Amino acid sequence: MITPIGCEAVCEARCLSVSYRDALVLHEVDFSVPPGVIMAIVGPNGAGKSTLLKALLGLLPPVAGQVEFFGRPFREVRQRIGYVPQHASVDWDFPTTVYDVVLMGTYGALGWFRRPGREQRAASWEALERTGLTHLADRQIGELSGGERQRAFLARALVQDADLYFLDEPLQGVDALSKHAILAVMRDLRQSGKTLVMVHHDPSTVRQLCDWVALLNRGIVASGPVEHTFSEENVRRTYAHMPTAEWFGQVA
Amino acid sequence: MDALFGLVSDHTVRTVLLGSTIVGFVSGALGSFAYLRRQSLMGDVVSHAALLGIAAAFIVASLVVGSGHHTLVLLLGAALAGVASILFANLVVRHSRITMDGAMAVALALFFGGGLTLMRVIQTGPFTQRSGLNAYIFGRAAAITRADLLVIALFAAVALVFLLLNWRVFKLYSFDAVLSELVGYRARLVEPLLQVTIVLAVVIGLKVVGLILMVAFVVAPASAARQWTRSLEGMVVLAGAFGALAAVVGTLLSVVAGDVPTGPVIVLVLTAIVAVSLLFAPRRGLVARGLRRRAQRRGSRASSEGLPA
Repeated sequence: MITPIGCEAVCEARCLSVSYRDALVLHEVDFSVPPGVIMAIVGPNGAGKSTLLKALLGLLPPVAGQVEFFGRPFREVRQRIGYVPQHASVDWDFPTTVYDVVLMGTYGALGWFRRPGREQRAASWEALERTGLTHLADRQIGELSGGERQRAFLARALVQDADLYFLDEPLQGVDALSKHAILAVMRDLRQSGKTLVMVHHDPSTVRQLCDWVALLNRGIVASGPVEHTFSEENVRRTYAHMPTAEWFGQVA
Repeated sequence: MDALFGLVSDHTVRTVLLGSTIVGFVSGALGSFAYLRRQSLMGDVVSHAALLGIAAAFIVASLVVGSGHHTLVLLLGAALAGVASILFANLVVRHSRITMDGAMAVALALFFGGGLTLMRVIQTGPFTQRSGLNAYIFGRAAAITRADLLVIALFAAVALVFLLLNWRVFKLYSFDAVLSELVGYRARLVEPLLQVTIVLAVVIGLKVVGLILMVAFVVAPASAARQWTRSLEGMVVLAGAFGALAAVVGTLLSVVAGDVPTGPVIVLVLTAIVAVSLLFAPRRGLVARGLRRRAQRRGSRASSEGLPA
């Protein structure tokens, strides 16, 4: 009944339909991510970008369709998948330090009962170092700026040492320094063979930051390598009724 | 001082003191999780709903074994009703457009109303030993028996073991339910486990402070402790310590003062601890924040006048 999914895709969704509060947000989405790329999910507001991410990760139950990672269901490979949420989603006044939050990234591998040991603590310090947060390790999480918070959540995903990372608008509302740091880490990850999928709000920087793209508006409009897929024509179809020319002016 | 020693060596006072201290520590510690998840009022729903469980357990036990007043049976009934009230509130939220605050109010009214009705049935029915039941409504710490103490200690131990075993799971779930779900701590499992743990901590306090004031034991130690620390570990331990401290001081005060009910005195002590914390805690306290603001104003004035700040 179900055709076997090609082993080359690190994430593959078939006929995925997702509804949110009785309204169908995504309709029969076919979505596939090749290994070793930075992929952008681009589309107008309300296109279902975050919804797609959440549905892929099983955070929203799909109405229909199926998702596989590395050819397996999510629950069998959850350790290999990292997620950096959009930053409004936690209580920033929670009594916990930056270091503590990063250490939480190791909980999954430890399971329900095992305590973090020397190895996990070392990994947390390394992730703090890579994101440039070492000097803020003892701060309460709410004392950080928006960009630093975003980096802390990236560090938490790094600690997990996943093979595939999903990032929900990692550059949204982030200062220049943090943006630079986040991008450096992302490129670094790609360099070491990891795959990154990010919801991206700014079409004008897709060519510069990403090598793969999915154009989304309630369904996949087009998906593939940036140089072919991210054409003016496709973008115009995605952002129907919106002026799109200036996004191309900058890269032309 | 001698008088105090005399009090503590008194057998009854010692039982009461031990009981209220255990309750103060455990409900204070676990109240932290309710507080951080912005569900403090869940403690109020549970303590009110418990009356239905207590009354129902009393009736069932009376009919089955002839007498209804077994602390273990009553508190098991209370815990079951407490859990049921939470499940009910969650069910209402999931299947209607009512939000959590509304659903909690509905659950509280329904279960407490049911409890009052059953209490009425017990009053008019052919039941023996029913007079002790009122202690659960207003609290009667002085009436805590050795048997009560044993059950309180048992429930408290179970709650603490649950807390320690699931520490990281509860922590991650309370801070970031999304990551918790992703790493495989399924909400389906964690949520009920955490709720049961909190319910255990709530129902043991009913006889000490009564179901009306029990919410204070859930909220006050946690909100005081939050002011002093920036780690969850610190907050939970400190909240437990505040709860225990209030229980000890409140119990002794009420014994010394004579004819004063223990529960309200404990709650007054808790309120004082909260007030002191809100005012004088370093960093978060009103005084510290006021001083910081003043220093900032001075600093900016000094620098605008060209002086070193």
